[in-house]
Amino acid sequence: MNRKIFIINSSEIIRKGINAILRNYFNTEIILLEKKEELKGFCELTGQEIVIIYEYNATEKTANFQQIQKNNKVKWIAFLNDNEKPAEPRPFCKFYFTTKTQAPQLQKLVSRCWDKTQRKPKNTDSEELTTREKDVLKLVALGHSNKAIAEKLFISIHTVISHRKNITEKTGIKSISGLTVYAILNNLLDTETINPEDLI
Amino acid sequence: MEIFKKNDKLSYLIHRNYHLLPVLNRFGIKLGIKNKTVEDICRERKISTGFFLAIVNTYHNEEYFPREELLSFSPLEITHYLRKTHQYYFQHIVPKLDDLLAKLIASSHHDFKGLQMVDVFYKKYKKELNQHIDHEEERVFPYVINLVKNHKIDPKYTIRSFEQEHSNVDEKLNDLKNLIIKYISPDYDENICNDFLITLSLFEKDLEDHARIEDKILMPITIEIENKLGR
Ligand SMILES: [Fe+2]
Ligand SMILES: [Fe+2]
Repeated sequence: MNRKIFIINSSEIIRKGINAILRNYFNTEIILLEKKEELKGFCELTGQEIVIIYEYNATEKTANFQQIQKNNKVKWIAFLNDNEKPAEPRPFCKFYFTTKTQAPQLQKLVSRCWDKTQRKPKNTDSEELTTREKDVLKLVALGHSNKAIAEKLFISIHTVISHRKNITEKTGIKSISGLTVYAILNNLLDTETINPEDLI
Repeated sequence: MEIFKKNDKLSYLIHRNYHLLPVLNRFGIKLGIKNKTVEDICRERKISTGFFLAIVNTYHNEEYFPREELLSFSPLEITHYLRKTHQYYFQHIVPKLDDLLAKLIASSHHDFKGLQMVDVFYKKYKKELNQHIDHEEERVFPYVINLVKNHKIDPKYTIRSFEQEHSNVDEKLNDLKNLIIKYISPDYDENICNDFLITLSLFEKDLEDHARIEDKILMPITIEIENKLGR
């Protein structure tokens, strides 16, 4: 899961200061914004783990960021002005810090927000195509439909689709003509009898 | 990642991300910009500052997409920008790729077959891209412009059909990149190959941005107008 940190603060000095503290600790993209409203520009984000460090303001009514909250895992950290009273509980936020907070504490605060169970899946699968996948690939390259491939190999269409998905994942190639080139380059097709230009 | 503001100097934008240069050109901006800010230049060139910033910022950061704001811009402004982008592809990028690929193939000593296959693949892709863009230039954009200017609905056409048939033209570019990066034997001039891959990657990114504006901005705006005209 991709991670992102947003730092929202009207003061450039504070924004850049927090950024400097977090940057040499987290290898995560950090986005600096002046106003909460600017979050609207990120409505397209999905499936990410996001920490939003915002400027707590008791008088300000909470803006609505459903879009970003709905499609991502969002944690909020409030930055309190010194003269602000310690935070009373607010809907999205358990965490806060002030200008008195030390850098390591702030780093800890952010790292507590990340979901530790989300380890990156290990890429254990071999890159090599299985014999069955090669059979499917050959037929794809020759221009057969999923249905025709299923009939020829005596397997279900569902299985064909899942083989095709694996082929694309392993090779990094999506289009049929791209897969055809791949098949020719790997000598899966006999180019003596077929003119490759007709296939690609 | 940062979001550019109207008071930023245009020269600053270029220093931060020189890939923005062709984007500026699409707005008719030429260099020699002194210390002018984004706002100055936009006023001078009669470009809407909001539109300029939205385009530049979405281009600068893939994840930034102020949809609500983008939806407020004029379809004429948007089609103009998209057309300039098409021109850039056909007058600059595609000829450059043609040239680099020809040089790359000429530089290869043994693995002729691999690069020949890549060449066939590329030519086919180019044909599809041509058809795709021709269709937009000749059918889709004129329809949108006519709709906005004359408030007339064409009984034989609706933008909704474009919504369905608008194909993904950047997918094959990624395939092309992978074929070269992963599967061709490295028997060619490396510097030419690097140039080719870099040009390809920039083109891919540009196309993604372009298609996103077509799909998520131009189409919904046009559908909205069609709805208002009682379609
Ligand atoms: Fe287009
Ligand atoms: Fe398009």
